[in-house]
Amino acid sequence: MVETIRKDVFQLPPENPIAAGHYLLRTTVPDSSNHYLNQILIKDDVYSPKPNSQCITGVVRSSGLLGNISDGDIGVVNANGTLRVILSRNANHNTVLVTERCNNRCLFCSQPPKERDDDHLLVQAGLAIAAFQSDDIIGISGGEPLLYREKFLRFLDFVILHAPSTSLHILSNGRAFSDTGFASEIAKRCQDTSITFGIPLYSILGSNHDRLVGAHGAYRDTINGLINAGNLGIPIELRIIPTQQNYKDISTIVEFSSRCLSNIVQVSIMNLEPTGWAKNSWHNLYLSPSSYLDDLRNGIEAAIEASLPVCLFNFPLCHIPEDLWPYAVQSISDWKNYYPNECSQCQLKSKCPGYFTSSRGKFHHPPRRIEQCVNGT
Amino acid sequence: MRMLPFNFDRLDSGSIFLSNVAGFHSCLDQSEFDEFIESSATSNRTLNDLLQSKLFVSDNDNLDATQAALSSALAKKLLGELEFRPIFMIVPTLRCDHACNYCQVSRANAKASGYDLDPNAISIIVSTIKRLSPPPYKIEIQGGEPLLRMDLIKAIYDQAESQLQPGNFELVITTSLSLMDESILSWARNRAVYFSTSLDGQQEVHNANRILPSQDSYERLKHSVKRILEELGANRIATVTTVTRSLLEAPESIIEAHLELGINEMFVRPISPYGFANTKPSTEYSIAEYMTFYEKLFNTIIKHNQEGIPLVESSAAIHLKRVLIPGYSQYADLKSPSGLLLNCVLFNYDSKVYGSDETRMLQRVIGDIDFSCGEVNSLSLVKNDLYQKLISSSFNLVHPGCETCAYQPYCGSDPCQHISLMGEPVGDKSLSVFCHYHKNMFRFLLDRYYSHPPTRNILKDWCHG
Amino acid sequence: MEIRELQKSDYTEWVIRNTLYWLTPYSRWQLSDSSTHWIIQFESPSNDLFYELDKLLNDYTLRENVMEKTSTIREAITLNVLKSIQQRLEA
Repeated sequence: MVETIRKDVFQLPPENPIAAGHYLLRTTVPDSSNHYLNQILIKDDVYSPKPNSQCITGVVRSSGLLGNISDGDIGVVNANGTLRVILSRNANHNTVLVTERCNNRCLFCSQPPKERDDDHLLVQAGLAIAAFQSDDIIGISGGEPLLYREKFLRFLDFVILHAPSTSLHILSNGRAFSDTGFASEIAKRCQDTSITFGIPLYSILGSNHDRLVGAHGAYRDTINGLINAGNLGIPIELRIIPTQQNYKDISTIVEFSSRCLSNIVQVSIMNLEPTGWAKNSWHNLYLSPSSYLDDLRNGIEAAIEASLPVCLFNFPLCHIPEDLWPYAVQSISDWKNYYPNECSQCQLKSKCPGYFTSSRGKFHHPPRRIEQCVNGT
Repeated sequence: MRMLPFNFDRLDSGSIFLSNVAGFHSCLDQSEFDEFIESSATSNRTLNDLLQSKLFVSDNDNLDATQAALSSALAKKLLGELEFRPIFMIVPTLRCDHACNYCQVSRANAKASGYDLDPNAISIIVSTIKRLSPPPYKIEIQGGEPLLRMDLIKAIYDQAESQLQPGNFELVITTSLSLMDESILSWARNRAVYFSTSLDGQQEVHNANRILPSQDSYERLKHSVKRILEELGANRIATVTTVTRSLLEAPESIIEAHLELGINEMFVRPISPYGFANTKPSTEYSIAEYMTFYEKLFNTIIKHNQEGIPLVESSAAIHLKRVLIPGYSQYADLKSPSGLLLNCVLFNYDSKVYGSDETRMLQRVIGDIDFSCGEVNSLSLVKNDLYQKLISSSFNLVHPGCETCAYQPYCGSDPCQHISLMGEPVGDKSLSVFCHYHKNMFRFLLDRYYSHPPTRNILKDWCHG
Repeated sequence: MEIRELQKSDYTEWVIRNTLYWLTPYSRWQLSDSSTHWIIQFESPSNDLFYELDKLLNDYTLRENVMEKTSTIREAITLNVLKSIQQRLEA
C-alpha cells in the first residue's frame, strides 16, 4: 500500500457497530446536538465508558481513526463497516460528490458515471456541508452536478442559508448554462456567496471537444453555456486537460477564452489523472509534458498576455522545465497524493505537487533528477 | 464548413493578413488564401484547424455557438473600449520658455500674464478627479512649460497626497527639462513623480526644432536627463520624439540621441497634422515619406537589439499590442470609440475642462465652437453634447473605409483630427492622415513580425516588457 | 484625362464604389455608366493609379465574395451583440 499524504478510509472495530450513514465526528463530548447530522464520538482504544450525552449516537474506539481526524470532521459509514472521512479539517482540499450521473462520457473520466437516480446525494451533501460549518472552500463534483437543475438550486439555497461562510467550487461541464434562464438563477446565487465553477474546454474544434467528452452536441452547449455564464457574472475557472488529441489546442483555447468569454478567473492546465476510464485508453490519451512543452508554453504565454491567471495542476516539478515551475501548484487532493521513494532526497519536495496514488505501476512516470536540487549530486 | 465574416490585407512579403470582429488574426500565403476563399478550407489540415479555432470558419453543427462566440467577443471588446478610464491632465501654465516653430500646444510668451492656473482651483480639480474615477490615478502635468510654475506643481502633488492618498497616484510632468534644477530633483526623489520630455534628435536637429533664446535646449536637456538618471533612476524619465522634416533624413540621429543620453526606450511618431501644429509648409511630409524614415529607423533599432543593445520603440509596441493582446485599450490615441473624454480629462489653466489635449488646442484655432465640458466648478460631461456626438461618431466598425479594413479591430479613431482637417468627425479615410499612418504601421509591423522570426522575438519582448 | 470602361457583368457597383473610394489620393475621378459599362474618368492618370485600380478591383471582388458567403452570419452576429451587451449590463 502506498503511503498517501492523508489516509481517509478506516475499518471500524466490529464491537458496537455504527449504522450506515453520514456522521459528524467528534473527539470531545459535544454539549449540544447538531441538527444536520448525528454525531459519533471517536475515542482511543483504551476502555472508557460511553459518555452520558444525548447528543452522541455512538462511540467508536480506534486510535488510528482518532489520530487522523479533527473534531467536527464529517464521515460516511458504509454497511460493510468502513468509515470514510469526506470532509476533513486537516485536508488540503475537501470535495463532495453530489451525483454520479452525467451527460458527458469523457474518455478520461476519473469518476465513471452511473445511470441510477441518486438525487439523495445532493440532500446528504447539503447536510454534510451545513454540519461541517467551514469558512473554507468546498469542492462539489460529480457526475454532472447541474443535471439536477431545480434540485441543485435548492441545494445551493440550503448551503447559502445554513453554511453562509462556506465557499463552493463546483466542477461542471457547463452545458446546463446554455439555458439562459437556469444560468441566471445560478448567477443570482453567486451574488450571495462565493461560488466558482470549474468548467473544462478541451478544444475550439467542436468535433474534437465532442470526441473527448464522448457526447455529440456537448461543445455547442458548453460554448453557449460559458458565454452565458460569463456574461451573467458567474466566476469561471477554465480547465484544460492536454491529451494526444488536443495538446495543440491549448493556446487557441486560451485565446478564445480571453477574446470571447468573460469572468474567467483562472485557466488551469491539468496533467491527466490515471484513474477511471483514463486507464482504459491511457496509451491513446496520455502525453508526457516534455513532448508538448512548446504548446504548454504558448498557452501560458497567451494567458499572461491576456492577464488571465494561469496554473499547472498535477505536474510533478521534475516533469516540466524550471521556467514553468512558478505556474505549477500543489493541486492533488491529499487522500490520493503520494511521493515515490526517489523523491525523499529532493529539495523541492515541499513545493512539488507529487503524484497521484493511481499513477503506480504501468501508469507511473518516474521522478527525474533535477540536477541542482537533489542532495549529493 | 461555413466561412465566417473576415477582412484581409496584403503584406509586403506576400502573406495575407486576416482578421475578424472578435480580434482574431491569422496569416496565409497566396495559395492558401485562394483555396480558403474558394472553398472555405485550405489543403493544409493544421492551418484549417487553426482557422476554425480562430473563428474564421465553422463546422455546420456548431455554427450557432460560433456565431454566439463572435458576438460575445465583439460585445466584450466594445464594452471594454467604452470603459471610462481617464488620464487626468492639468495645465498649470500656458507660458513657455521655448518658441518652437511647430509647437503642438498653443503657447504663450514666458513673460505674458493671464495664462496661469488660479492656485485656488487646485483643490477643486483634485476633488473632481477623485469624484470621477477610482484609484489608481495618473495625473499628467502639461504646458506650456510647467516647470515655470513649480509652486503649482507642488501644490497639485500635495493636494493629491491628501485627497487621493499616497500610493494611489502618480504625477507625470511633461517638460522640456530646460528649467530643471537640483531642488526639483530632491523634491521628486521620494515622491511618485515622473518626467516626460521631447527629444527631437541630436544637438543640431533638436536645437533647430526646440528654440530657446540661448540656443542650448539640447545641452540643458542632456544635463537634466543625466541628473535624473543618476538621482532618480531610469524609470523616472521617458521621451517622446516628434519627427520633423530635418529628422526625416537622418533616422540614426534619434537613436544616437537616445544612446547619448543613456535612454533605451523611445516613442517616435509623426508630426501631428492638426492645422496648428505645422504652420509652415516646409515641415510637412507625407506618410509615405514618414514610413520610409520609420523603416530605416526600425531596421537600425532591430540591428542594435541583435547586437545586444536592448532599444525599444514604443509606437511599434502599441500597434502590436493592439493586435496581439486581447483587451489592450490603454492607449487613448489608438482605440475605437476614440479615447476622447473616456481616457482623458484635461483641466486647463483657465479652469475650462476638455476631453483631450487636442480639443483644448482645437479650441484655440476654432473659437466659435465650445469644445469644453464647462469650467471645473460647473463640470458636466453631458451638458456639451459635442462629446456625445464626437464619441458616437468614432466607432470605426461602421466607418466607410474601415468596415472592410483588416486592421479595424485594432485601430482607432480620431474625430478631432478629422474635424481639424476635413471639417467633420468621420473623415474620408482615403485622405486621412490618421488612417494612412496607422494602416501603414500595422501593415509594416505585422509583415516584419510574421516574415522574420528573429525580429518577432524582439517585438514580443517589446510587447511584454 | 483618361477614361476606363469596366463591364457591369464583371464588377458590381459595390466593388466599383469601394475601389474608387481609395483612389481619391491618386486622382480626381468621375463615375458614370451605360447599360453595360461603368465609365470612370480620371483627371490625372498615372501608372501608380492604374496599378492601384487593378489591385483594388481584384481585392474588392474577393471581399464581395466573402461578404456574400457570410452575409446572414454577419447579420446574426450584429443582432447577438446587442443581446450580449444587454446580458452583461444586467449582470
